[in-house]
Amino acid sequence: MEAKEALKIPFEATKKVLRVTKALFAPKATEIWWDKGVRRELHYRGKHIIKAELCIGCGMCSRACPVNCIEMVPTGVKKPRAVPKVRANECMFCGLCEDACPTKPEKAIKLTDHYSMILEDVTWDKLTDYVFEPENLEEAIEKAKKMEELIEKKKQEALKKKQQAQQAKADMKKEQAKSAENAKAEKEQQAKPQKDSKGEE
Amino acid sequence: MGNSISMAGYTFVVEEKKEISGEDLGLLQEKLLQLNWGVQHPASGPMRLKVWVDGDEVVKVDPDIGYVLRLLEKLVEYRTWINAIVNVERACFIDNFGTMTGYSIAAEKIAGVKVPKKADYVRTILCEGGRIVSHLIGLGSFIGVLGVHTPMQWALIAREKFLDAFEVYSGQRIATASIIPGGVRYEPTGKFIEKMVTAVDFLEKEFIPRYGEVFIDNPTLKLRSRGIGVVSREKAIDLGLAGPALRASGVASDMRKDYPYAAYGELDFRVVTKEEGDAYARYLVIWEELIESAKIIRQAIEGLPEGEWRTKFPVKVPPGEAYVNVEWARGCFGFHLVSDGGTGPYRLKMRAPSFANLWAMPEMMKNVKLADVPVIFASLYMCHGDIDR
Repeated sequence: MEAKEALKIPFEATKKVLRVTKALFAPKATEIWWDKGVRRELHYRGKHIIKAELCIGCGMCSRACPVNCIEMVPTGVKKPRAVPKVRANECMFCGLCEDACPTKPEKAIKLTDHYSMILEDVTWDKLTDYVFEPENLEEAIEKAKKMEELIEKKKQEALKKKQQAQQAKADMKKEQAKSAENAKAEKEQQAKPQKDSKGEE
Repeated sequence: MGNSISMAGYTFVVEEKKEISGEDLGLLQEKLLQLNWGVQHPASGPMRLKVWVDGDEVVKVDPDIGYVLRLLEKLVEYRTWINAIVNVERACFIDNFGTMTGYSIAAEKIAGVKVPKKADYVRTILCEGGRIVSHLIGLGSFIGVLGVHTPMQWALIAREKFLDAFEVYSGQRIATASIIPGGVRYEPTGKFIEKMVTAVDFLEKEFIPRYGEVFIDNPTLKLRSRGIGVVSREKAIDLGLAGPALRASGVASDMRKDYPYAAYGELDFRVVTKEEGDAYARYLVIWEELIESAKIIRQAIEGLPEGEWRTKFPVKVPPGEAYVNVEWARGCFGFHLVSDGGTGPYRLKMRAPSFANLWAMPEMMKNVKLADVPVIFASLYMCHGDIDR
C-alpha cells in the first residue's frame, strides 16, 4: 500500500461516519400513516358508527342492506326494542343503511371516515367476530330503563288518580243513590201511615 | 417430441374431427391443431378461446365462457328496488354508472316517478366520466396486446384523476353505488365539480395531445391493425355488433342521440363513425369518443341546474314492465325489468353488448393469421364481467 492511499483511509472513514449520523437524524422518507388520523374526502364510506341513544329500533337499516350483514340485537328494553350490529367482514360499505335510517336530524347509523380496520393474528374466527357494535349501549339501556320506570311510575300515578277519581265518583253516586233511597224510604214511610190512616177511615 | 408439444399447450385433434367439420376439410384434418388461448391469457382474461389452426392460419375459433359467472340477474330478484343497484353495477365495474342509470330509468318508468332535472345532469356527468374511464382502459389494452405497455400506464394516470372525482362524490373509487331509482344519492358538491374539471383539464391538455402524438397516427400500429377483422356495414348489422365496433362499420347508432335519456337531449355532441370497419377504425372510434365525452362533461357542468337531486321512491311498485336501452361505454345495454307489485324486482334481464360482440367474433376470425387473434379480440372492446354476468 502506498502512503497516499494509507493517508486517505481515516478521511474516508470519517466521511462515512458523518453520513451515517446524518441519516440517523434526518426525517424519514416513509411514515407510518395509520395512527396519524388521516382524514379522507367528504362522503368516505368507512367504519360504521352506531348511536344507541338515537336508535329507535325500527330495523330499516337491516332491511336496506343488500348483503344482509346487519343483525338487529334485542336489548330487553321497549325503546329501542333492538339495535343494529354490523358484521364487518361481510359488509361491502355501500352506505345504503345510512340512507334508510329515519332518525332526524342526526342518523343513528353512519359511515365514518375511519378506514383503518387492522386485526392482528387474523383467523377466520376473529374475522367472523369482528363486528361494529353500537356505542354506549349499556348507558343507553340504563337510560331507557330509567325512562321506562319513570313512565311506569307516572302511569301508575295516573292510574291511581283515575282509580281515586272513579272511587270518588262511585262514592258520590252511592251517596246520591243512598240519599235517593233514603228519600224514597222517607216518602214511603210518609205514605204508609197515610194509607193506614185511610184504611182506618 | 410429442411430449414437448403437449406441454406447451398444443394438442393434436384427432378425435374432434367431426366437431370441427361442419364442412368437409379433407386432408387438412391431420394438420389441424387446437390451441387453448388459456383462461389466464393476458389478452383474453378469465375466458378461454379454443383456436383451431392450420399452420399459421386460423380455421375456427370457439369461445368458452362462464369463468366469472355471478348470477347477477338472479341475485337482483332477492333485493329491494333500491339496493338492487349493487348487483346491477357489478355487471362491469369499470363503467358502473351506465348500468345503474339504465336500471334506475327502468324502475322509474314502472313506478311513474319523475326525476328532478339536477339528478339528470349529475347522471350525465357521471356516465360520461365512467365512459372516459372505460375508454382509457380500452385504448391502453388495445396497444397492450400488441406488446407495448407504456400507453396503458399513461391511460391509468389520466384515469386516476377521474377516480379521485368519483371518490369525492360517492366515497368509493370503483363500485360507487351512487345512482338509485329516484335520482342520485349524493349532492354534487363544489369540490366534486372542481375535481371533475381538473380531471377533464388533465385529459384535454396533457393526455390527449401527448397520447395522440405518439400512439394514434403510429405507422407500426397502422401496419398491425389496418385491414384486419374487417366487417362491412351490412354484416355488422347482421351479426348484431354493438357500441364502438358497430360505429366503426359506418352505422351511426347511438342511444344517446336516438332515444335521449338523462340530460343528453339538451346537450350538443357528435356521434363518431368510421367507414373502414377494421381494427384500427374501432380503435379510432374509441379515441374520438373520448374527446367527445370530455366536451359533454364540460357542457353538463355549465348547465347544472339548481334544486333537489333526489325524490322519494315508493317501497312497493305497481305491477308492470319496462324495457330501457342506455348507451354504455361498450355499447347499447338493455334492461328488461318486470314488477309484480312487490318490494323488489320480479325479474331483470340484461342485454349485454360485449356478449353480442363476442359471438360475432368467430365469424370475423375466419382465415386470419394467428397473430391477429389478439388484435381483433382487443379491438372488439369486450368486458368479461359483462359477458358472463
